[in-house]
Amino acid sequence: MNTETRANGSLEGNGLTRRDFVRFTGIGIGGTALLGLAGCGMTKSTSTSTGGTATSGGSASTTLKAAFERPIISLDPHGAADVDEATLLASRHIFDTLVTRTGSTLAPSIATKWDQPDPNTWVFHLRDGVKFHDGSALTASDVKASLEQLARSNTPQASLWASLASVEAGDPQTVTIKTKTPLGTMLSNLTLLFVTPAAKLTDSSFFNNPVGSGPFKVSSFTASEHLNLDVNPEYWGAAPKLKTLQFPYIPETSARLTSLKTGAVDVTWSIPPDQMSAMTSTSGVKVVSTPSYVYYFNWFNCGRAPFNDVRVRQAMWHAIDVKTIVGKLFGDSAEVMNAPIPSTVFGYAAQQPYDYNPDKAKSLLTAAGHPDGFSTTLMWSTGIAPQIRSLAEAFNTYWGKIGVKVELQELEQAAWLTRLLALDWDMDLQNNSVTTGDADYSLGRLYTTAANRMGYSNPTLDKDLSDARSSTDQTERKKLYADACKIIWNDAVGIFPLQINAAYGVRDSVQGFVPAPNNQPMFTDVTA
Amino acid sequence: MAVIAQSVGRIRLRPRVPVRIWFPAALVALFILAAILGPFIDPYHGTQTDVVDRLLTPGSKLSTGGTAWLGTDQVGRPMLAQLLAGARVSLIVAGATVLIGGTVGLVLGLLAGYFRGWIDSIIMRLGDIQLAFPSILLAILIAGVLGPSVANVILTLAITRWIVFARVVRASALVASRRESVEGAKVVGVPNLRILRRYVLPEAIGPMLVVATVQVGQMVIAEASLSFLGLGVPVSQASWGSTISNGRDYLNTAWWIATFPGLAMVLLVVSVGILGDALHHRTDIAVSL
Repeated sequence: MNTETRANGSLEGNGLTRRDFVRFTGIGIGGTALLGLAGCGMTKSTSTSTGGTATSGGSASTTLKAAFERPIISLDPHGAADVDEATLLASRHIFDTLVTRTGSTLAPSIATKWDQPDPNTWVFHLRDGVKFHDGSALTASDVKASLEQLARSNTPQASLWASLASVEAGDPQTVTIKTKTPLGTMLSNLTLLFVTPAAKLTDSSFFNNPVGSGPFKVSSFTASEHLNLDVNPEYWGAAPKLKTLQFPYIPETSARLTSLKTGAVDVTWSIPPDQMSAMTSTSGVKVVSTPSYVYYFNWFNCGRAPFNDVRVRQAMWHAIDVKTIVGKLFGDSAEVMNAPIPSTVFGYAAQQPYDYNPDKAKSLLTAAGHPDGFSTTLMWSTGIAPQIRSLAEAFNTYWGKIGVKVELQELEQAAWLTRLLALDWDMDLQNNSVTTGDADYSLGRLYTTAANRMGYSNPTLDKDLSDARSSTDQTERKKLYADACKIIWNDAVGIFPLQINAAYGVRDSVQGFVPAPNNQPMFTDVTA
Repeated sequence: MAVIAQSVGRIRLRPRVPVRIWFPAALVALFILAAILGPFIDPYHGTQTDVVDRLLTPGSKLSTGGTAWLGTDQVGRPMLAQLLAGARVSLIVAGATVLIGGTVGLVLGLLAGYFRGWIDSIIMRLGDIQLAFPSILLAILIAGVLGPSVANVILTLAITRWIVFARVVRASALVASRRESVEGAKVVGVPNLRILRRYVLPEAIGPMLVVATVQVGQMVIAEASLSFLGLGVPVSQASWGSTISNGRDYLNTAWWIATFPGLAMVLLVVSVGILGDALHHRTDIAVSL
């Protein structure tokens, strides 16, 4: 057995024979070569589909991919997600509004001109020849239906239209909006009213594949996964330079930033402050930032003990060294806030900062009847804002030093939203954007007694906010909002630590990109 | 002639315990020691953040005077303390899960293998349903209803793992129950419990221990996975999984946050696996004799 020589000349027992060796090596080399060719083939095809690297003499690609940190969960601009950044971003490209905001002024969009016969009546004259993506004409009845749908819904945007009395479509090109009391924010509210076809408003599946009149039409949409848009060649306004605009959703921050580095996406936001230096030093990529309307805040549930006592809330604020935390965690990407709204917003007025004073905090707590501190909870939604967990943990350390024990609760988005709206929380940490750039959107929507978003009720504040909303005199509105800021700030309805810059990562080949302060950039003038 | 040459070549002095056994065993013992003593030597306080000391490289000096041997994370907590605290959590969870799941699996497996019939059917079908149900969903459910805690992690993992032990024990029990010694004992009138204890159980212990050793490694990974997803330990407690999760956005800039717990996990799981393998060889020889 072992001593017999085998037919192929090997003297070993059952070891590897020369024939087997050659056979296996051949298969190995062949297999590797095949895999290599397949790999090369795949990379070539993906690079052509993303428009390739900018090596071929500056020919701009007509496809752009943009990834951002939140999923698009709905394309319904009058639904529960009607203030969600992602839905607003998508809506701006698919639908039109009567007016748009350019910088600090409001410009005509679907409405070419408007006038106010009396303080409670606004008449808007619509543009001719605006068509929806399915070819039907956009008329005043579509505007009427869209606004009525929004105003009577139970959605976060609806409270902007609390004073709406009626909408009339006298003729196909004229819309008359009547309010019960004068509405000073009519125009800025209209920048969020997206016009959808009246005929389709009762169709519940319409918004899975909606048609609008905007510069892009929907080619494919899967909620929380991707949105693909094609250009609308019949658009009434300036034609977009892109043919295809895609919004893939990449939930992991590191995967999203890597996609930008490799060119799998062309634009991404937000860039977390800790990853900023790595992005700026990557070749082929630049970071553009701008002061934004986005800010972080930590609300107290003012309807629940112990936060129904203003001294406790103020104590919690004095206990924290806001300057150090913001400086260390966010660096140049953020500024310490000194009002309940960012300094970029109309209605902002600087307030007296709360100094870092743990002794004062302890004496306030003692005066409020908590000499030994107390226990409470803090909740936030995973991934809702860059570095929010670090912020919560940093706050917790300072609160621990004055004897307040906080249980940190990191929740998944749906669970957090349910508890938030049900007021089932003690403290809520989150970010928000003053999307319209006008203080009414945040202060007027969230801090009224009727809104009851954090259990705070103050009749003086209510009067300030409703007066400011119904006035059309911008100077008077500014004064009223200054008073509103002071009330909210001094009563410590929440802690307002920082306003963050909007930071976008953009590949060098992208031209015409303008960073937007509300995290909702427009891609109509952009080339990839 | 060739045969004689081969046998002469094979006679050599063997060390008492081979390297591939004592080295992993030493590593595991080191981990256990670190888990027990670590939190006394270098305690971890999940709520003590210090943003001034954030993202320090390994070996840097802290503002409080000490040294961060393995660096600090993004809120300034030292990584070494997190590693030690995480070791404790991992080993407690793995040990408790194997103990609880193993005991339940042992009992049910013995019953199923010895009595057979409808008891066997019920237990095995229950196990099949369990295996078909994704454990992550169960973890989400339990974490959502009861909240995150070490006890809930142990509960979740034990519920999903008892079947692994039960199957192995059942196989041994089936074989052992058919022995003539057992038949004879039944004829003589020995009570079932005594038969199980004296005849069947010793058969099942061997394979059961092997499976248990492998499952310890698996449970370390499972606990880390749950904590990575946020379904495991609460925010203020350190676990290797949650530490890795904390560091996953910083792989390019502050690699030490995710790397050290990852390395620790690899070392522990591989060592346990090698030990389990060695145990398997030994018990195999014993069984086949």
